[in-house]
Order: sequence, then C-alpha cells, then structure tokens
Amino acid sequence: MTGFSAAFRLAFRRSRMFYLWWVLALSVMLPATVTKYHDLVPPGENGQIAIAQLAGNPTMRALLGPAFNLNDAGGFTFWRVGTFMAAAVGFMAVLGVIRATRAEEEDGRVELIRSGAVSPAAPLAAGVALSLLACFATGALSALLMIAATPGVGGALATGLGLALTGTMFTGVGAVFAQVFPSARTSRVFSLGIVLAGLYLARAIVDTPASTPTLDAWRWAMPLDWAALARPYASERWWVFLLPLAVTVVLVALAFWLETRRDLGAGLRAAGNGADTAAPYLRDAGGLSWRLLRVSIIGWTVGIVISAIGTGTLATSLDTAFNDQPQVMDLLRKISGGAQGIQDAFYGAMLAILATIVTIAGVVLLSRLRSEETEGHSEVMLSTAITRRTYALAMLVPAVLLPIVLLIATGALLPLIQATSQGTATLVGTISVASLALIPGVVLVMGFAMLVVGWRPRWFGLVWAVVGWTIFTSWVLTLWSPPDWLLRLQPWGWLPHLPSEPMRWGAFTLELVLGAVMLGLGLVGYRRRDIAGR
Amino acid sequence: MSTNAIEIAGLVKRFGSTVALDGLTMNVPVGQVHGFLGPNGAGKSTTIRVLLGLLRADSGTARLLGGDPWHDAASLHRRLAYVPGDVNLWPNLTGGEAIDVIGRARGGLDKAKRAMLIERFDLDPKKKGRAYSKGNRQKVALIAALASDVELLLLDEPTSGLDPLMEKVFSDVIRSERRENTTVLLSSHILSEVEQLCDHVSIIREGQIVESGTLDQLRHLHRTRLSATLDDLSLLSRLDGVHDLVTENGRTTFEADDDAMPPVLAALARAGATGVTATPPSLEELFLSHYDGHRVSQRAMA
Repeated sequence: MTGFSAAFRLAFRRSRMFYLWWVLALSVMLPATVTKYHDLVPPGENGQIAIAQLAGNPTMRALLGPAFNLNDAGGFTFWRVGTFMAAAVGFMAVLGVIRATRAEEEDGRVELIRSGAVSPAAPLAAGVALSLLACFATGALSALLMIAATPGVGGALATGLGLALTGTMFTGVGAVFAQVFPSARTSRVFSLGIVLAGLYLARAIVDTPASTPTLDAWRWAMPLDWAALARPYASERWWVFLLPLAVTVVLVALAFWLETRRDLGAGLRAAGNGADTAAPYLRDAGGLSWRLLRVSIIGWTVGIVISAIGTGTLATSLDTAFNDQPQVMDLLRKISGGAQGIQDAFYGAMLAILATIVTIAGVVLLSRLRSEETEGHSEVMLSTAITRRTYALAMLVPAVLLPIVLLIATGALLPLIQATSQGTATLVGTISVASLALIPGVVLVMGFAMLVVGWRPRWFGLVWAVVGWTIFTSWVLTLWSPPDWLLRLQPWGWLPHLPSEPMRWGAFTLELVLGAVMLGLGLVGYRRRDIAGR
Repeated sequence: MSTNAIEIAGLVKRFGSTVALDGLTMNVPVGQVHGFLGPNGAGKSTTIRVLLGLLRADSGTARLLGGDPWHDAASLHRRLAYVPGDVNLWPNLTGGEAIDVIGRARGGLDKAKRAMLIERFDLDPKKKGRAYSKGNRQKVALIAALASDVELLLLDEPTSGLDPLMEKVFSDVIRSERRENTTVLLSSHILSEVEQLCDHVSIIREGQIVESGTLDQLRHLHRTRLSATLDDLSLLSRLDGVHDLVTENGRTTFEADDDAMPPVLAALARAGATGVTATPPSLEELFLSHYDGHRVSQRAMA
C-alpha cells in the first residue's frame, strides 16, 4: 500500500504516549493481581471452599464473568480481572483507532496526508495497524509478566491472546463506526457507549444465573466472554480464539470496504440540509448548550435507565444463602462500601459502580466547555453579549444536574424489578435514599473538573484519572486487601453507604461543601483566565 | 464619549516566555476604517483578542468604545461584532442557525440585513457547518457580524478564503458601513483591499506598531522612484536625498526622499530631462520594508 509507512509513522508519532500509558496500565493489572492470590486464598480446603463460593455468587459472575479454575492462581486471576481487562483493552483500541482516523480527518489533517502520494486507505490502515499492534503489545506484555509471576506458560499465553483478540475486535468496531459517522464524537459514542457497554451488560445478564445448558449456549454469543471461554489456566481451548480473530478480520475488512464508498470528510450518509434560521430557543448560551448537549443528555439517560433496570434484573437471582459465607461477603462488602446482607451488598455494589458511570456522563458534558474553546467556538460566543459566567454555567449546570438526576433515577430503578415481584415499594424508597447519600461524590468530581477547566484546562486528563482511579478501586483494588483508608480514597469512599451504614451527615456535608467550593473556584478561574482561540 | 473607538497604550502580552505584544500603542478614532497590517505572528490577532477581553493584558491600557475591554466585556460586545481569523463552525448546526445564534447572543440582528447579506454573499444557509468550504465558513462569520447594527467591527483577516467576486461584495459592504460612521479595525494581508478601504493604516511588527498614519502620510516617509532620459547627470548626483542613481540604455532611474523633491524636479527641468515618470511607493513596498526582517536588521546594522 503506497504511503502506508509514512502514514503509520505519523500515527505512531501522534499516538505513542497515548498507547504507552494505556498498554502499561493494562498490562500490569493481571500480574499484580496474581501476586495477591495467596494472601487472599488461604492454603488448604477452607480457602478452596471459600473461593468456590465466591465464584458461585451471582453478583460476582455478573461483574466478572464465568469462572473455570479457581484452584490455580492464574485461573483465579483471569476470572477476577481478565474479562474486565479484556474489555478495557477494547476501550483502548476504540479510542486509539478513532483518534488516528476520524478525529484526524475531522480536523482536516487526513486531507494533508491523502494529498500526498499515498493510497486512499493508507491513513485508515495506519490507524488500524497501530491499534492492532497496541492490543497485541498489551497481550504479549501481560503474558510475559504472567509467565514470570505464576506457573503455566499455556495459561499465560491464553491470557495474553484473550486480552489482545478482545481488543482487536474493538479495533474493528471503532474502524467501522469511524467510516459510518462524520464526527469522531459520534463514532466513539456508538463504539463505546452502545457496542462495548451493551455487550458488557448483555454478558452480565447471561452470566448471572446459575449455569444451564441454554445459558451456556447463549454465552457463546457474548464476544466479551470468549476470552474466558478459552479457559486460560483451565486446560486451554485454543480454537476459541478463532472466534474473535474472525470477528476482527470481518470488521476490519468491512471498515476498508466502507472507506472506499464514502468521500473524504463525509460519513456514509450524505450530510443532509437543515433549517435556514435558528429555532426560537437558540437565542442565548442556554439554548446553544442544549442544542450541543441534547444528544449526549438523551443518550446517557436512555443508557443509564436501561443499565439500571437491566442490572436490577440480576437481583432476582440473588441467593440469600450467601449471607453465611464470610469470604463472599467480605469482597462484596468492600465493593459496596460496607454492606452487611447479600441484598444490601448487591445494591450497594451496583449503586457504587453506577455512581461512577453517571459521573462520567457529567465529565463528558463538561469536557464540552473545554472542547468548544479549543475548536474556536468559545472565542466567538464570548465576543457577544454573553458573559463568561453565563457561558460557563450553561454547560456546567447540565453537567452537574444530569449525573445527580441519573444517580437518583438509578437508585429508584435498580430495585424496581424486585420491588414489583415483591409487591412493595419499600425497597425503591430505601435504595433511592441510598443514592441520595452518594450525591456529594458526584459534586466533588464535577467540582474538580470545573476547577481544572477554570484554571488549567490542559490538565483535563487529571479528571479522567480520578474517574479511572475510582473504577480501579472498586473493580481491582478491593481484591488486594489494601488498608481501608486506601480503599476509601475515592470520591464515594468516605460517604455513608445506606442502608447498611448509618447516615453520616459530617462526611456528606463536608464533601458537598468541598465540591461546591471547587465549582465556585472553577467559575472564578474561568472568568479570570485567557480564552484560547483556534 | 471618547472620540477614539480604540485606544491602546503600552500594551504588553506574554505567553510564557514569548512576548506577543511589546508595548503596543495605537488609536482608532470613531468612524475610521483602520487597516491593521503585519506579518504572520506579529501580534494582530493577539491585539484583537485583548480588545475583545478574551486575553488579559500583562501591562499597558486598552480602552474600547469608552469602556474597559476586560471588565465591561459583555456590555461592550453588544456594540461590536467580531470575525475571527480562523472560522470554525459547529459541525451539526446549519450556517443559518450559526448566524442567528451568534447574532442573537450579541443582542439581536437585523432580519432584512441578514437576508440581504445572504443574498449578496450567495450563501446557502441550510447547509450544515461541516459541509461548508473555508470560504463559505468565512461568509457565515461575516454575515453574522455584519447583520447586526454595531458601532465597531473587529475583523481579523475577514476575506481569507473568499473568491474575488465575494471580496468585492465585502468591500462594498464595508464602504456602506463607513457611510454609517461604523468604526472598522481590519486586519489583512491583502494590500489592495486595505488600499481601497482604509483611511488609516498601522503596521505592526514583533508586537509593536512600527508605522501608523494615512496612506499619504506613510508615502511621505518613503522615497519616490523616478525615471527619466537625460544627458547630464551631474546636477542630480550633487543633490542630497537622491539614491541609487543608475543609467541603463540611456534611461536613468533613481529614488528621491520626499523633502528632496523640489530641487530634484528643478534639476530635471534644467537638465532637459524627457519622459519623466514618478512612482510613489506602493503600499506593498511600504509593507515589505517592514515585513522583511532581514532587510530591516541589515539597515539597522548599517
């Protein structure tokens, strides 16, 4: 392919730090977990029984997927973090391939490349190749570290292949959507918000109930289960890897075919015409920000409602017998922030995870205040009679309100199915109140985000780091029996987790005030600093 | 009410270690169409952004329409319109929507004027932002700015990307604005446009105004180029203020300082010169003498 090497080197130069951090962060997670196995599972029969109960717990299966061999450090590790990390590799692959293809095209840089002596498909090929390479680098590094950390070369290789090939499927997904939509933002929303999140939720629903032949068959339809179904450290089934490989090949081929069927800068559909005058509501900063954010607001709302109700269906398969199993309860308690009963633990854990996810919605909305600036739109709007305060608030208010409303909605919707089957609304009330107690965490993260946008917008990555750390603490860190203070060192860590904990107004108020102060300081900063142009 | 729409004195703006504006001083009286010239990176856009209150000056003062551009930004912005140098539209808003959003945010626009400008600039307002070419994006920004009745227009290279026909439409519109006593600060590289439209010109280089005045005033600071056919060069060569005297194929060319013109013309007459031509320096020559850093620094060293 003419010009491939030039395009590839350019893509590499532009994305090397992005991939470096992702690959390193993703590769160390499994080996770090494996070293904790013997602390977690005491030698002897008791430990094995405890761990088997853990794997039989529906909540754990929902979060982590099916388990095959928990008697082995490697097998346990793959169950505990493997499926989640494989999905995370997919996340990296999507972001990577879209930033190198559609985002570059949208900014007009692909045009510069394509005007040279390069084949039309070279930029796509470069972005795809780099993303594939990063997936395999993650897999290879993970496998090497696993070989060093625990016996079982075959298991380590299967682990690495599982991570890599789950990732490459999403290279394909990202590459296809990057051809379909003219905007990088929309391509990311479809690849991550709909396909990746949807597949993870579907997998959780299939994996939750106890195994039956029908469900086992359905499990094969879940691409995010394939890595686990290849059974790393549990007499590996290598042929299973043909499935993600085939999906990758088909999707990548589809992306290249679609690329030939569209114009540079365009999506598959020709851009339609719109209104020649603006609707009456488009008259101020609020109207503009609704116009810019409405798709995100509606999309996130629909997504969270589906996720909350869908996750709620899992509650019906909860088995109260798990109350007696200390090992299970210990782990669930850590994720949920200290719940005692199995039901409280389940709702607590799910609420904690969904609180983080709705906050991502808020951060995404507020990131628009920054991207509007780098794209040169803020410069134009702040040259009108709109004050900086009004302009910032028009983005900030929905960015803070949306996650709060969605969090409360999550609290009401999570127990809905169970409450309906029980015929009582008590549970809905209880969990809704529990969600209210988590609001200060949302305000704290949004306050920090506004502080960054107001004073040092280039550091917006720090906000994502906070979100990433929070996900890390509830998904991975809980396993390592870290000191309690470290586990609580995240926006929701110090808040009271109702109903198993008593309400602590002190922590609640302190965090709320801290968040509000940061929101205010952020606004002050936004009014005082230079606004960048394009 | 001040008689100056724009007053800038000793303005300094730094970005890290880069000094973008280095004690810039400049005034634009009300009703003037003021050309703002300078090489890329000289500080034109930075000056305009300080005037818009988007950037905060490190030192010096700037006054805009009698107010403070930083503290009174929003209220001043009702009275002015701005066209950025690099127009980027919202990809999913149509051109018509973008015009309305920007115009209404300023405090409303004149619907008849909007329709007239869309017609004259030949813009399809139904297309989405991402579908417009550079020239069409520029038109959207121009229409959004010009459709409001404002006292001041801040235009940062407003015709970049426009075809010659549209450049002419732009010139016509600016001329009619001038008749309505609108003040215009026009940053541009297109010298013919500045020559046609501007009463006054300021040339900026490395964050400072190096020359400012009417075109006539500026020309007086520079040498006029003359050529003639004459036999006796001795009269001319003795005069002060005559430079680069060269004879080729019987034709003599030289440059003369402005204040040396009377004796030069007298000497030409006495020497019986024929075929005399005198060319005042073009704006381009004025401009290049400031643009070309190499030439300037050589002169400074000499």
